[in-house]
Amino acid sequence: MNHKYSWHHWVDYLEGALPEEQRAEMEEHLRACEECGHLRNNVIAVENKLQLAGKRLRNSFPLNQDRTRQAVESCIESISKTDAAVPNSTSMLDRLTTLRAFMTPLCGSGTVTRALRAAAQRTAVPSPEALPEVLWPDFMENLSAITGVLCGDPAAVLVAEVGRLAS
Amino acid sequence: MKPGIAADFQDEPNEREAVEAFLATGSEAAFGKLASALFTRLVRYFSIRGLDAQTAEELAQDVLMIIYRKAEMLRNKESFYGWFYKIARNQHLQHVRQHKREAELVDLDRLPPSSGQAGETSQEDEFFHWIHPLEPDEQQIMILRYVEDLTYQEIATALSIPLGTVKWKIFDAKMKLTDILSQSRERSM
Repeated sequence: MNHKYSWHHWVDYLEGALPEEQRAEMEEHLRACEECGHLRNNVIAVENKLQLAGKRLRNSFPLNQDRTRQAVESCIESISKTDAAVPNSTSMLDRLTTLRAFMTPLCGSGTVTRALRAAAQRTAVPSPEALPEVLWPDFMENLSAITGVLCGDPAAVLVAEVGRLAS
Repeated sequence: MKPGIAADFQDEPNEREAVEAFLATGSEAAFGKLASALFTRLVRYFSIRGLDAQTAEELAQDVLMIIYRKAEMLRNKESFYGWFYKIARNQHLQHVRQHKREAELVDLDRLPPSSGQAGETSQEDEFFHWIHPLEPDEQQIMILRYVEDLTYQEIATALSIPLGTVKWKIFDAKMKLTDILSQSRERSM
């Protein structure tokens, strides 16, 4: 970076995270060195502008109470349905069937059952059949990792691809 | 969970308190407050990335459901916001992939073309105008830092990149913007 200070020093200095002694030393240099002092002032100016503009953008999305309330209630309703063990959609069951059909010759049916169950548990659902569509990517990520351990990396890659195509 | 929990909806919920209460109890009432507190943040996250209001709200709901399902698996409660934005980013990626045949060509970091163009800028567009000269991945990090107000560590978690990389990228981006600011000042003198 500039002169004797690395970018690590600059980051810690600008964030106020530099130890007091080092901070005092660096400020002494910034007072003595016109180039570094100028750089410090300009970086702080940029920082201030970014903070102000970022805050304005953040506040330009006001809380819409009605929409928020509707969305939260809809969300809670969806969760309630899943908690009540409502049978899963056909498409999700089809996906699981496709996975089973593909994985069984590779890993054996017992291993496939265990892998699907373990992947579901790691996705925080009680069973593969209870898997909501929104958790499919996470489920597939877990299943691929488990398949890799049980049946090897090539199988894991293939399973991930089948899961992607099935969705 | 019973519908109607959102009756606990607060006008201006204290977001951090809502997060802490939900992570501590996992209760239905706490989730209602958490969802109310985070919904606008999520809609903003997706809207900034060019999604229409309806899609942004749908994805926001998906993210909230995932949080409800997976909160128990969050080992370090301190890293909630990083984890939260990681889920949002994954949902965005999934959405983009589902809606584009050429998924491998998707650049998740690229902002929508309307953001940061030259010409008159509204107060809301000012931020995009500022970060426009940066690379797409730098722009995303700057949004997380200055719009979403995340710490360096939370950004590292959200993007699954090392903390040092986040620090360097933000520093480097600020250096680039400093150069641009200096040049524009020199030109105007």
